[in-house]
Amino acid sequence: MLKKTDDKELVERCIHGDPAAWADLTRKYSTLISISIRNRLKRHSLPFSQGDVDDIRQEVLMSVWTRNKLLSVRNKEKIAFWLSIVAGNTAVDYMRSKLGVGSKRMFDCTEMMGSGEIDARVLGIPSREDDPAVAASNKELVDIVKNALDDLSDNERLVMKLHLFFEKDYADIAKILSLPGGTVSSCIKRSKEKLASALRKKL
Amino acid sequence: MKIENVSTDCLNDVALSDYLLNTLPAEERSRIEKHLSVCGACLVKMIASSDSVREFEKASQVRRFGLMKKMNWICIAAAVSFVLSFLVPRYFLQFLTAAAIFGVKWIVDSKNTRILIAIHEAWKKGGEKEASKVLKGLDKDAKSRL
Repeated sequence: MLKKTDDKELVERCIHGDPAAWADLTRKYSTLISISIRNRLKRHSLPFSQGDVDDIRQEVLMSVWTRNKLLSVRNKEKIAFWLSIVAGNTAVDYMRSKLGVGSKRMFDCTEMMGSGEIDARVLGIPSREDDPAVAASNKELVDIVKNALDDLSDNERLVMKLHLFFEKDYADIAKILSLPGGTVSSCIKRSKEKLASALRKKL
Repeated sequence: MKIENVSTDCLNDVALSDYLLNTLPAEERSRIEKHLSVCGACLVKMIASSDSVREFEKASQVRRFGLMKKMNWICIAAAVSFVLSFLVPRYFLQFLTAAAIFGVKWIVDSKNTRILIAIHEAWKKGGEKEASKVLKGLDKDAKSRL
């Protein structure tokens, strides 16, 4: 009771089927699981209730314990990221089965990120479907930006997507990608110059 | 541009979490970043997880700070009650009792007391050997925090 056990020891005891260790781990990470479920479902713009979050949390805990998923974790002293990803995946699967197979397109993030509609919104361009000429012109603009992003290197494209599509600032991107802040800002500056040059050529 | 969802090559949960922990070799990191630059599904997974863990850590810090504040208030209440016991002789015993209660609560709730009791229990069970094991564990814990 008085001894503070670290995650690695707790996880190893859970892997060996210790219910007391599992109870401690559950208590420690229950909040993280709930936060992860909410964030993931919000990312997919899916409506959910507190009841859904509670059900999904139970499902996550049940599947991690009964299938001994902790065995597959490499860094047993820091399981927060892994647990968060598992919780998010379970949330998506839960909503998929709740809403039916027909809603599968809703979960295809590449569709979300690749579709002209979303990109137009992200780029601050109204879709203007009432005016076909404006809509066509806006679509062409979106295609130009997409092609320009294609021409960037893998790293530059990743940084720009985090900046443009996920609205992450330089510090957030540096933290997520474990890069120095200076590297991120010079990468974004370089990529924006490339995008601007590509836009100037096409327009 | 059509972003390819390379579903057969999509990242597994362990690889993605190791990437976020920055524990992978450079070559593996590069491979994962190449995939993230073209796979929207994995990118959303990564961002959602990163945001969630950050939110969780912030909430935990707020809770810990709240607990520290509570401990400080208990200590202050003990000190004030002790001083009042002399300043207000009419209620000397009452204030002294309150000071004793707050003081005991502060001592029992504090981490150092827990450590001392853990060492004492280990020593009672298995003598010096067990006690030194507990001390080594605490030392390791302190070093890992540095």
